[in-house]
Amino acid sequence: MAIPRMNENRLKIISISAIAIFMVILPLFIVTSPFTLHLITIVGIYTILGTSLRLAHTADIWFVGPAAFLGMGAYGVAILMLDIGLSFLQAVPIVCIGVVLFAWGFGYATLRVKGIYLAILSLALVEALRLTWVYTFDKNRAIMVPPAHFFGIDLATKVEYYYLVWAILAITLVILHRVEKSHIGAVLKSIAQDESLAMSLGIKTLRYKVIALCVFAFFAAIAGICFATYNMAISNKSFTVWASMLIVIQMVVGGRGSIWGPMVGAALLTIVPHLLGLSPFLQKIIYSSLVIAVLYFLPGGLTSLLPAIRKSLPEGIRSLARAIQSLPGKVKR
Amino acid sequence: MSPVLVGQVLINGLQMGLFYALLAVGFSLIYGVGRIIFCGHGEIYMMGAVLNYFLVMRLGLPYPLAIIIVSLAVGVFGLILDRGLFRRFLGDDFGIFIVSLGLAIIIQQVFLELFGGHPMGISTQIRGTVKLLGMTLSRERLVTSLISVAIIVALHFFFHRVKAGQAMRAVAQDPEAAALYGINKSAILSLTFFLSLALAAAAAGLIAPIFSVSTAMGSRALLNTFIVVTLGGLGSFPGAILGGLLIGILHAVGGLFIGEITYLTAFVIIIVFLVVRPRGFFGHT
Repeated sequence: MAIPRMNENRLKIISISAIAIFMVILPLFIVTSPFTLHLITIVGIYTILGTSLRLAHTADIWFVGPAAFLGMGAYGVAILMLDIGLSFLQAVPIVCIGVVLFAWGFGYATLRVKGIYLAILSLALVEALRLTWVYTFDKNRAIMVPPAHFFGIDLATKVEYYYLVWAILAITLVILHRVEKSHIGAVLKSIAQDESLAMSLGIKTLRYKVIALCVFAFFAAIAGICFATYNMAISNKSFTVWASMLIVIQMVVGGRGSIWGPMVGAALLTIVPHLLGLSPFLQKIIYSSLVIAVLYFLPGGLTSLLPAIRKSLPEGIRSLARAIQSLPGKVKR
Repeated sequence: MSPVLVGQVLINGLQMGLFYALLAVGFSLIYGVGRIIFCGHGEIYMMGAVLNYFLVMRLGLPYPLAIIIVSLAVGVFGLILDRGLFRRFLGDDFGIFIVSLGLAIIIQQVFLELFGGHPMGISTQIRGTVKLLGMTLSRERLVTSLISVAIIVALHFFFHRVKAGQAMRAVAQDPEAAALYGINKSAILSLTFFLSLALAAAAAGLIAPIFSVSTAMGSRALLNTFIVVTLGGLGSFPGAILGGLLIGILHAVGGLFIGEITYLTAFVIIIVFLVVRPRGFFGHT
């Protein structure tokens, strides 16, 4: 009997829906400890940031300051709700539009700069914004943020935020996947390969780079809003250069080549050091050793293993099927 | 605002600038020769300062001897990093960037665990003050500044008169052409690591008696180094010196007139500067 070939697309759909179902039932049956759930929610927020930052990195834009836009989202929603007295639903669109407009202006001014210069520039932006928060709203104390509430629902428990964050993450992944497969994604990849060649074909590369940065800024603002309302308190210490670096490190360790990379990296680097139950010192050592070890052995990040897994998985299923068929009982029939 | 006070502030700024310059030269060298963005530079600087503190204050070694020992030891540490870690990543610029960040976290955490987070002070045996044009300068500061000037002059001599230094510049300018002339790029990169890290440790040792030392000083040093090399142009020796002096003076003068906001100003200036002149003062395309 011919064994049906497992089509790649079908495998993809099955595995994605399996992951989705798993994530939905996760807080109901599997994870009962609130701390682990908290970690998974944080992984979700990091992944929203990391995957959208990855879009910019497909064009080889060395923007390494995600905490800048994260902080703008978080402080924006806090200020609008506390000082101006807007409701959550009014504040969210204003914050998103504001951050995207800022990213648009910043992008047009700076994205001509490339490589390490852009990296330094983005870190300078992070530090400049952080100091701005310190001198204006923050004054080195934590700002309390009211929890998110919309359509009569007050989000208060960890489980509710878990669902909110991972639902947003699912939408983010779908949108980013679509963007990457669209002509925008193709242009961004061509910029990474040879920007002057792309320009010589009449493509306004700067415009596309700005689009990538704006898309990233939008999702970073959303992540910032989630971060602020989930933690219920923000301080400038969450938006430092190091906070930015953690996101970038997660993205690279997971692999910049795949849309799943930032999620894999965030999950590995957030959950593993905590699960081992070590002191903060050893946690940080393990974190950085993991980073160095992964990049040492897999320069493309963890998801560079994906093609090999994808190839071997249908192979494995088929051989399993073959083994079942060749069971003695069946052969005798 | 008396002219004496302004003069004093300017001199303090120049002094800070000298140390920034020493740090920036090393960072710039590593980038120029190996295209390596070495984010551990700030932590290496911290390492040098804390080790100097340990040798001088805990073990009671004489201060000049401590500086020499620490600089050499940190330089050898640089050789180990180069051969053991960074060789593997040559060519993968972004990977190197991330790996050096991981390394920076490890160094910082290990030193935090060993020495704690509190500020530490080093006292040298150099006492007294010197009067100059109505300004009062501490002899300690004067001596350390003169040593750093001497190091910079020696570096200039090294880059222009010594074969190894010339080879370093050649590799930084055009690695392939340098290889065609028979320059051993691998050896030059090792030498660069040794020199850069030793310079960072020396700068730290020289600055330690003036400002207090702590295990948390690395990340700000790294950010300052970024700013300095961007101003001067990455890979440029005179650029790093000029950038260092400018930022030192900016911090000192700004600290006097507008206080803490100077740091913010420095970052805004660097953003505007990069947009207007991405290659810095002396950088080449």
